[in-house]
Amino acid sequence: MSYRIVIVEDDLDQQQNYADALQRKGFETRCFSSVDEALDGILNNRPDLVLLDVVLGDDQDGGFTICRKLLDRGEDIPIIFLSDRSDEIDQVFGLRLGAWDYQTKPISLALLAERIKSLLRIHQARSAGSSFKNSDDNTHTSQANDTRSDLTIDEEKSFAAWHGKTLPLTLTEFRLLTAIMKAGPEGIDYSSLCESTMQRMVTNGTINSHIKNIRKKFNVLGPAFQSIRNKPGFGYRWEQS
Amino acid sequence: MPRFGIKTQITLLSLGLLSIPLVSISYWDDIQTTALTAQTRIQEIEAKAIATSLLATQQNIRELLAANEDSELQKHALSAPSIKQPIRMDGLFGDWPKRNNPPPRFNLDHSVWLALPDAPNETAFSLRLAQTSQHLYVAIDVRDNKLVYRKDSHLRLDYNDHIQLTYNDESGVLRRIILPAEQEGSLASYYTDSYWQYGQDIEVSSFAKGKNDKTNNTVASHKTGLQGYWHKTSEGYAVEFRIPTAQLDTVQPQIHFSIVDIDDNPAYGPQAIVASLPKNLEDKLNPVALHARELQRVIDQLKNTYARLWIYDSRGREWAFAERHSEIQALQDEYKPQEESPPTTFDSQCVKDALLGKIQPLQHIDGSDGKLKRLLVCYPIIEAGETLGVVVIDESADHVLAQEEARVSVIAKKVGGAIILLLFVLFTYAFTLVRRIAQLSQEAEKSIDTHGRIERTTINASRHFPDEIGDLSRNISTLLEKQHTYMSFLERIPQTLRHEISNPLNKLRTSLENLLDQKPELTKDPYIRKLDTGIDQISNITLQLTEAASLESAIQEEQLVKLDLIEFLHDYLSAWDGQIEYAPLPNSSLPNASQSNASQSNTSKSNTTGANTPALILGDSSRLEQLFDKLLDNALGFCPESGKVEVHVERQANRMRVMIENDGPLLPTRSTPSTRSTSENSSENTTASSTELFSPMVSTRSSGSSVHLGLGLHIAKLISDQHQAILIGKNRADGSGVIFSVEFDLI
Repeated sequence: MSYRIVIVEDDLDQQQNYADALQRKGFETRCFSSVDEALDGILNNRPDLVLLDVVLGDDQDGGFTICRKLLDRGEDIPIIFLSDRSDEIDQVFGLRLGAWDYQTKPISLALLAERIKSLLRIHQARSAGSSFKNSDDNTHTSQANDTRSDLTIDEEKSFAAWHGKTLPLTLTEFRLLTAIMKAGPEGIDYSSLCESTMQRMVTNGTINSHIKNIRKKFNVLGPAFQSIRNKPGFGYRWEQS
Repeated sequence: MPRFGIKTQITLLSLGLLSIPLVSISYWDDIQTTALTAQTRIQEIEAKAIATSLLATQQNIRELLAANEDSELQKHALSAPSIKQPIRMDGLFGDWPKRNNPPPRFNLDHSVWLALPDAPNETAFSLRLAQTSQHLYVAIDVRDNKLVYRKDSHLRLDYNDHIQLTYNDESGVLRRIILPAEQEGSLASYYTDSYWQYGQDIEVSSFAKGKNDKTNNTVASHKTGLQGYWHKTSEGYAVEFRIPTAQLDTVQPQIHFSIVDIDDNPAYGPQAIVASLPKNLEDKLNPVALHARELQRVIDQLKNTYARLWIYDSRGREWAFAERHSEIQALQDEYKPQEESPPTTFDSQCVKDALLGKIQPLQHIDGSDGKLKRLLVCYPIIEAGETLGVVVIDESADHVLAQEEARVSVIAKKVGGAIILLLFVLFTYAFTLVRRIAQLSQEAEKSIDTHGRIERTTINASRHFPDEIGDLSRNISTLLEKQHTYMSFLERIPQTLRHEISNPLNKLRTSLENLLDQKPELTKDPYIRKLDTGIDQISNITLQLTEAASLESAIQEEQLVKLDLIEFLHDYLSAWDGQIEYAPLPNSSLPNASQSNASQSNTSKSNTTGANTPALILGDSSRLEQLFDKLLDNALGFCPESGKVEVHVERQANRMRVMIENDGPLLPTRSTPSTRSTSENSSENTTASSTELFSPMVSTRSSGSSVHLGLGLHIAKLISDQHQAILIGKNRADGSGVIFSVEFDLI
């Protein structure tokens, strides 16, 4: 069984490129270029995942509108924003609406496919307990939880908790946290961290921004979090508190 | 050039106003001359007016001025000069005014009777007359070697030495008064008859008040109206008395004195009689120049205007006199309180010229010190070609100058007050202007932050004033608004570019990926590889644009924490091993991987002040990492392959400077190198303009094929500003490369 992916993109060339790439990866795709068409299509034929561009034609927030209406209806569909709007406020807004991820253009189709697979796996794991569905080989694997200190990480579900409270991390942030935690006191360099984001164009500054966001989310939940330490010029390391 | 503020300028200009009174003072001599000339002219006009008025109003001017009198008798006219103060009646003549000529003396030449014509006789007398507006004063100094006093038993008045006084009263009736020598003390006087023997009551006609009926009153013989004193002297005796001028005929005042010397038996008759007229005129009376009331009234109206006024007849007799009231005089002469010279007017050349008919004669009389003392103007009274008299107006030059000085003083005080008021107003206005300009300047300065960003576009200072400063305020606001709009547009350029590029770039990227996925054999195609590289470069550019666009707002929310800059640099620089060279860090306790290498290259410039102590700053390690990444990327990007990039760290007491040097092309030579301070290296000509060097989308050096958007240094600048650090870009002194230094304040 192949997963159904809805692509909402007003640029038909990009829309076609996404569809071609995903179809070659075994996904079933349907494309829309406007808000109304997309909502009708999604509600009439519920997909497994939705790729949303934010700007749809003259509607500057069309993607956000679709996301909000779907979630308002209680639809449990993973949503990924693919947008040229890279401002932090747009990313925060999209994620707060309930999107699972927010990717800025230009994107790598290969990495997008991997990201979609990962999200579907996580979604399935969260929906059906500890098992999940691998879109490539349709095999099931499991991975033990990793608990260090007051931090709880469930890689299968991309779930993290701090002092028992859920950390609202994006998929990218979760991957970065996991990579740093696994590296331990020796640390992990920037290039490895960039790879772990599964994005094509990532700089040290991008990594630093993600780390700042991770720290903020930790600090909102509890005492001062200082386990992620910067190794200037190198990357980050995990220091057990 | 020294700074001259508006307050200083207006102060200096205002001081120029003080030159007005100073210039006026320099013209004081001219003012004095003008005042004296004007005063002379006024006196001349006044004298002319008086003379004309007298001729027009006084029908009997000839009689008033005694122009028709007998010329022989006029030779014996008696002069009665005017005096200011009354004379004390004590028989002493010391209080009589000093005259230029001695008083007339009458001796045997004027004898009308001698008992023994051939016998020696020294009987003689001198006579002084003076007048005020109320009285005629008389002083008679009699030489008599043998005094015979009146005895109490004598009823007759002529059995002793005595003086016979004859005059015409106000009604023209001849009156005789005998002054017997009775005793030292108050003078005795009696009306008498033509025999000069006994006292005789007289009849005086008068008009009752409000009635035309004439009444006759009897006046006792001893009520003569004379007040005087009889005084014995070494040569004889002296008599001093005064008679009211109301009793005298002022139209044709005449008076006559006879000294009757009694030596032996009175029954034998007088020894000698000496009169004030010679024997051939014994039936006459001496004319006396008493003031004519009609003339006096004319000049009395001007008596407070001038020091003195006279009306003389052609023979020099004074017919009217007026002088300024002493109190008024004292008040007006307060600036020059000094005694005026006694009047000697008639003898002056001015009067003589006037009597000769010279019109508008005037004469300034110089004092003994050569200064002008008096202004004397004489104007003749001419009727039918005959000069009847002269009007004389005398004024003190000091008085005129004092008045002028008083007037100038009042004007000067008013002008001074006005100038002070004007200065006050000017200063107040200047301070108000300066305060408004200062407020405008402060607001304009605050509207732009230290980095040139517009913080507010509205200037409130003087915004509602309808003047040029208000216009300036409004124009600045308009300018700031326009500049803010333009700056906002510039600031949005990276974001806009990023947004506009992203979609076509994504189209390219996804298309290329699909193409390679469908035709893997193309992966090795050089053109495809170049296409892939180009897309990556454009992607990198958009990434930098995104980073630059979001950095400024992001760092404003970030909290800086204490961190050890040496520890940070130790960790950070170790990650660049092999790419750069750096000297030992100031804190030698920390291990340094490149220390030996740096020592060999002899590039250490570290200052060991504060060694082994942390160099604490308020900072953000990831931002510092980003800052030095940009600077090192920039240095490596511009450094030629044969060159090297060196990092030096200098620590001073409260500062730490990190210098990153490369052998790359030089920066354009400009001034104002620092992002925080423009004065620090202003003396160095090898420094690039910070405005240009650290502006976004600007690259001042050529680096061959590498892409340099200029965003790196812009980001470095933003981060250095966030850390209150000074970022400086300058060329090496020897021109071999470029140095970027970041100087931190330690805490």
